[in-house]
Amino acid sequence: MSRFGLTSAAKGELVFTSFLFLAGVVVITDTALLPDMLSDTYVSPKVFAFTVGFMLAGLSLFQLVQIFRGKLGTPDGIEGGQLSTTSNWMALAVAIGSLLFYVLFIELLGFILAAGVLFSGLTWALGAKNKVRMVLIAFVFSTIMFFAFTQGLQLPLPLGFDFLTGVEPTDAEW
Amino acid sequence: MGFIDGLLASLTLTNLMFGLVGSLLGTLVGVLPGIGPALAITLLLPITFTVEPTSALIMFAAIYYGAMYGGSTTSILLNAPGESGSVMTTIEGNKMARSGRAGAALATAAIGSFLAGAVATGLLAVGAPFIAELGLRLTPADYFALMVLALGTISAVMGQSVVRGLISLSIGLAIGFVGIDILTGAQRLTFGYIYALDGISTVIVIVSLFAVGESLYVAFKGRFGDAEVIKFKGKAWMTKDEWSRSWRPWARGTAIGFPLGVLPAGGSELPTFLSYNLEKRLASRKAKSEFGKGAIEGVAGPEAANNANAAGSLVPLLALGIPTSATAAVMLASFDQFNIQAGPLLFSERPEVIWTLIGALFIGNFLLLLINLPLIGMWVKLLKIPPHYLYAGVLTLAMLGAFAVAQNTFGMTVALAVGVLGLLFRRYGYPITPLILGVVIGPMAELELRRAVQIANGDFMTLIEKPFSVFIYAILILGLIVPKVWPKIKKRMAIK
Repeated sequence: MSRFGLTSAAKGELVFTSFLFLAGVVVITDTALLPDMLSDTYVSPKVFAFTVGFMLAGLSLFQLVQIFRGKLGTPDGIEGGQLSTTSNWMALAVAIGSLLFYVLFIELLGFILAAGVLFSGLTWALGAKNKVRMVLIAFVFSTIMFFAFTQGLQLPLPLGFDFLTGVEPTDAEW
Repeated sequence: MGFIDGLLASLTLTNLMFGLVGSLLGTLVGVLPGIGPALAITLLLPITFTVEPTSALIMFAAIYYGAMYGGSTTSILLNAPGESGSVMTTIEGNKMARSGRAGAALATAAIGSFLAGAVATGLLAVGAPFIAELGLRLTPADYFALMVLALGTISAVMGQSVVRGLISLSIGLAIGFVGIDILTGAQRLTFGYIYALDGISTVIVIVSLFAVGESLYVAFKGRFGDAEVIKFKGKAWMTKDEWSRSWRPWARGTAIGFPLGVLPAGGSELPTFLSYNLEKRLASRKAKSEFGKGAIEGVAGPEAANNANAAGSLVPLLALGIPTSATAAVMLASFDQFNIQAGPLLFSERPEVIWTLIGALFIGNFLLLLINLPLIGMWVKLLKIPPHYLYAGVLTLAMLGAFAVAQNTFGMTVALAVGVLGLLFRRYGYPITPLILGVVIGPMAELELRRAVQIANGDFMTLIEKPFSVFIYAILILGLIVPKVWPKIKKRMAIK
């Protein structure tokens, strides 16, 4: 309990709702900074954007007040599992880390490796116990997907390791 | 071209095959937790580059129907809904399975789904051309009103509170702004990024919100226990008594589900909820005592409502081009890929597409009954896949899709960011669907608004000039206010 008598869940919701409010402010400022355009349309791109910006900012302000009145959001249920009472920060960090690894290294190290790491990382984060089986399934899966998509569906996926051949990977290749 | 021609056209080998593949995939994503019809269709959007429009649309519609069938299997045997529309089925269905009546629960779900699907598809075939006819007479101002109604009511009914729904909607609308405004060239919310000029792809938003958001949320807050799959042997069938207890709930479920699909109620949560409560209230004394312990009425009603709802939501999608559920929004995106304009002109300009699609829905619905009754054992085996691997597989597939669409680090980073937003939405009780519909309908609504005001030479009053638009806004206001005020009025009258 803090000074305002907020629980940790309320504090989390407070931070998130403030972020929503901030997003509203960003929409409003961005719209205000748009140059005035002389065009033949009667409705400028600002009209709709201002409406949405003020709606977002106003409603999140209302929601901020609701938090102090003790009205908190109920977390969604889990498909195929149960909602846990505690938060698993470690698992969340691993899951986000695996996703980041995939995003940052897919072009450099190729799809098979990046997706393999993503798959094993997430299975671990979701609580699978058998590590060897986890990594094995992950790489078999990513390899099969790689060939199914590049050979079967003709959808190009990066093979990676272009630095070995001295060719700089560029966006243009994709 | 009419319904009979469409039915015959859907009977070609190619169309039947796509219908079958769609039915199988739909049942699969319905059975499996962690992936639903909206995400499945999004991931399959790339096939629109190589497959005929009619075939692809048949497959997508079959996935939509199939997911409604498959979701019930998971609800009944695993005590966890495979789909958001089967949450209500879980309550009675799993209790029935526990007391050894799994066969009857599965049968009433599948047969009810089939009958509701057949009746609702018939209503779709009759009603959609009529509404399309009406749609031809609507002005841009009317369309704008309809879109505002759709967005407003969906936001109001989907969330834990109206405000939460509207906030979710606003975020979606804001995401829809990103990029260059087509009419004026203004750059909204791009912050100087070149890649942002093209806007944020709907595919990326849907994939990230569902697959990435759900995976992160489950890792953060979920727990996969040793979920007990109830053993099911023998046949999924019903006794005479169970038949006679099922048919009325089926009929009532259809009657609730179809209109709530046509109206913007945001998906199958609301109709299944209403159907369950109606059955509970109407149940005979014997059945009433069974509610909470495994009453067949509580499975039959919501399952029928579920399928009728899916068919109903195709009416505004096909006839007006306005999606009213997340899955319908994705289907609209697939129409765009083919440069087919969903809406009133569809029936006059591309009758072969629309009637073949409707014909195929009948065939697909029949295929689904076969897939889900005699072959039920095959789907039960799928429930034994550990959910960790399932979620990981779905996420990897989704990120592959994100890469295929984005093709650069910027798009992938957006995908990750939207995924984190999806996690936070789930954690703090904000609904996802209004956001998605905001991204999809928002730009359409803005375009209609501009058209309307331009036609009226800049007079904003044109928006409320015609009785039709005024009527629509009145419905919206009533829809937003009545649920809030009604309990208070009732209370006051009771005190007096």
